[in-house]
Amino acid sequence: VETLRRSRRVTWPVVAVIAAALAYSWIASGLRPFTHPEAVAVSIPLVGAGVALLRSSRRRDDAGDGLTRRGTWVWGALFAALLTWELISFFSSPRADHPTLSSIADSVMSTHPGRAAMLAAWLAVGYGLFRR
Amino acid sequence: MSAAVTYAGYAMIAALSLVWTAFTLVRRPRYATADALAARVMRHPVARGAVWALWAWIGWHLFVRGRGAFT
Repeated sequence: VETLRRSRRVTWPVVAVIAAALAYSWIASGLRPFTHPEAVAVSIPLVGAGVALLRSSRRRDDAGDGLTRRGTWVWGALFAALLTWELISFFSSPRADHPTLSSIADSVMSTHPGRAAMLAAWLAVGYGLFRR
Repeated sequence: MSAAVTYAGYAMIAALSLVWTAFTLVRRPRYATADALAARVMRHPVARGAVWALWAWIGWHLFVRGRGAFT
């Protein structure tokens, strides 16, 4: 059991990658929407994730599972709760009294730091999903 | 129902998610962590493509289309 727990040590390369990702988020989020530079800035991680996805698919097919299903229903219940709450808000009005995740995201992204944080979070989610 | 109640609902779901995340991390590998769940989903080729497409769509609409993309 203990051997399955990987020790995660913070190394300088990791710190450098995180710093680069944060800097990228800050610069890319400062570009204007609907412009070619912003489209390129967003496309670079998209292409990188796509390449990682294609590379991982070759070695994934013969890999074993070995993952527990215990507690999966809790994740499902949390997702269902979020989806239900979002739908209740979406079909209610006025929007000011019933904010959806989209309207919350819009208000967060009204400032450059908020937009940069959202971009960094988006990159982090992508890294978490497509690194394997 | 006021905005405070709506925000409280989101906050409660977020708090429960954080608690469950911490619990599964402490009790791993007995309980499925979010990372393990993602690993399971990403084992399937169609799911991998769908997850990439969803992630790409969210990023494109949020950052290339900009604020108000979903309105």
